[in-house]
Order: sequence, then structure tokens, then C-alpha cells
Amino acid sequence: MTPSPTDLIAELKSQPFCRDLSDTELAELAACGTLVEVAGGDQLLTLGGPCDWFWVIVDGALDVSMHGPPVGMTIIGRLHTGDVAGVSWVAEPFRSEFDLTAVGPGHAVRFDAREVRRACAADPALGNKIYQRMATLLRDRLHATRLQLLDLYGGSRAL
Amino acid sequence: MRSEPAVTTLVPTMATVEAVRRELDDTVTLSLALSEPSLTPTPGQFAMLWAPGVGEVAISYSGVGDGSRVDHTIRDVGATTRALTTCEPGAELGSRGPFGRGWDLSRLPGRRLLIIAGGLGLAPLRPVVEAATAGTLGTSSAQLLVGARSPDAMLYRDEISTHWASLEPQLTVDHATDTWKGGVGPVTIALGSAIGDPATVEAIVCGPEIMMRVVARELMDRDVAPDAIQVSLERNMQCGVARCGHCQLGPLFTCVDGPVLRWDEAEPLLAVRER
Repeated sequence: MTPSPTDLIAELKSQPFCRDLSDTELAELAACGTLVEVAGGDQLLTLGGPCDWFWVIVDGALDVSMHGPPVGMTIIGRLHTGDVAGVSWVAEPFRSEFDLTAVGPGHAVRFDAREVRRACAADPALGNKIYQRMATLLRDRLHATRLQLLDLYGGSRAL
Repeated sequence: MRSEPAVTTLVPTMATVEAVRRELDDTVTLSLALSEPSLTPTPGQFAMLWAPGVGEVAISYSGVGDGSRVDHTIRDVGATTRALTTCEPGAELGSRGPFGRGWDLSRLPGRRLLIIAGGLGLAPLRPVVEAATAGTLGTSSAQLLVGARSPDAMLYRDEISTHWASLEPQLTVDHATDTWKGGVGPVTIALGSAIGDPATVEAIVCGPEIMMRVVARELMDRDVAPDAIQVSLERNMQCGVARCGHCQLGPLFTCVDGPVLRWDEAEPLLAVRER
């Protein structure tokens, strides 16, 4: 069953990504989104492919992964309820650098990135909020990736 | 005032290896029977284990038993630890201890306990995890968060998924396989959903120093008080009785004043850059 716009706004209201957005801003954002169901193994973004969509996870989990020799397929991050999946839509060339795959069944609000960029350009207050949230999210993911690069747990501690 | 250790702590008690359990490729747990009972260790304390003819090394208790039977989980990182990790049942070792200040369990009643481990840091936390599972700490609730390099490097995986399941373990790894069901990323990604009311949280954290610093900052960013965060520091413990000075950290001797410190005590000391 397709949820009504009111249902979608209610869903978005409960998401951390949409915290403190006004009713008008939520409605503007909801107009760019659709509640979708995903099944395990569904590939939502492909490495090197266009990043025309992004998702706010309602339930379930999505893997961010990369593949290629010599390591084969490597899962770089796993995103859960409340996380935003897909970040390459914020800046040109709007191309995904990773695969995004559903770990199991779940639901997400899928946003049309072009529509969101258009809404942000038309309403600078909304645009400022959305891009600030994306900047925070990118900062947090950069920090997390740097910690992973440090190989924190491989130290010499003998205990 | 610093309490004076008994002189007998300088003389090893002989111990027999009763069992050896391989945990990881380079890590084993030794169950030791001491020839003379020691004081029952407090979780978080350590012993100086002596491999005769090789050397002595500080190893935390991963099972505190009753003072005559204890467990140590040891990673092979050098000559002495190699000698210890290749012991067979029946081997004789020396043990001095227990030394140092363990986890302050008196703070836990009525609070939400977060046990946060990175890599082998789960070993000194194991007695606390077992007490939390048994419900003997008086906490209002408890949760276990563990980070590791990869699923294969996750310590005590069987115990986590069976005996410790009531602690709703949140497991994260840096490098996942497609069969991995937990989180992927640093252990801090699991904190957001674990904290609840920060005013009620007591966090005990053990792992590599950078990991503990990152976790402590994340906890404080989420309004957990610095004095409600306990960390276990690893320094070069040698005498165990604050005489040799190898483990000195600012005004503290980690072997006696630590290894467990509150974050408000540890942070200023760790902020000093090593030369």
C-alpha cells in the first residue's frame, strides 16, 4: 500500500535527519520522497554509477561496500535505522563511489536527489538545513573512516 | 595516601597451567591453579606472570576465581608472551599479584552500565561482564559493546553469543565479511543507541588508548560525566609495587594508582605528548 503524504511526513518527523524541520519544510522534503520496501541483496547504488537517489532507513540495514582486486568485496560501513544512505548526490559529478546493498528486508524513504537539490535551491532556509546535516554526516563518516584506518585494535597490547 | 604493598608481592607464587583455551590465532586463555592462594583479585587488576628462563610480563585477570584459580587471556606479542601462549597443561609458571586498582564496582548499583571493549580490551572486562550477566552488580541495566578488527579477531565470540546474550551485545568490526551480522565501523557507532539517559550511565572502557580516548569523548559529547567513565591504562609495568618507575605517568604509578582510572583523572595525563 502506498502511504499518504501525511504518513510520509509523520515518518520523516521521527527521523533524526529531519529533526527540527518546520512542517512546511517537511512537506517540501516529503514531496521528493517515497516510502519503499527493500529485500535482502537489493542493490540500491552501484560503484561508478549515478547517485540520483538517497535513502533514510526506516528499518533494516544497508551495506556500503567496494569491490576489486586484491581484496575482493569489502564492506566499509553498515547503515541502520535512522541513517542516511547515499551521500554523493550532494556534489558533482553525482556519482556513487560505492555499492549500496540491502542486508535483509527493510523499509526506507527514498529521495529523488535532483528534486531535493531543486527544493533546496528554491528554499534557501531548507537548503541550508539539509546541507548542514549532510556536512555533519560526512564529517562523522570521515572520522569513523579515519579511525578504521588507524587499525585501532591491532596494537601490541598483550594483556 | 598510597597503600604499601606486602613484601611478598615481590616473590612469585608458582602456578600450574590447568587448561589452555585458544581464543584467536595469537591469543590463548590460561587457567592457572596457584600453589598458594593469593588475595582474590578485583576485576581489572593484573598479575606479573613469569615464564621461567624467559621473563615476566603484566597480564590482567580475565577470570578472578577465588584467589587460587585464575584466568589470564594473553596475546603473543614478544618473547615472554610467546612462552606463555605456547604453554601446555601441566606447565609451571610464576605469578605475582594481584596488583593495582581495578574497576570501581561500588559505583554501579542503580546505574546503567556500559561495558565498552576494543580488541583484547575485552579480557580485563570479562569478570565484570560475567558479574553483570549473573546480575550481581546491582545495576539498573547493562549492555556490552565490543569492537574488533574483523569477525575472526573478536575475542570470546562463543561466550558473547551464548552466556552474555542477556547484555544485548553490540558488536562492530572494521573489516566485515558478507556473513557478518553486526555493525561495521568503530565501536563508537553503537554508542548512540546504547546510552539512554546519560545521567544514569557508568561506562567502563578498555582497549587501545586511542580507542578509549575516542569513546570517552563521544560519551562526553552525549552528556555522560567524565567521572562516570573508567578506563584501564596499559603502561610498562615491571615491579608492580611502585618502586621501579617504569610505569610512571605524570604523578602516578600505573601499577599501583591504576591501571583503572576515572576519565577525569586520566585525560590530563594522556594529553601530554610523548617525546
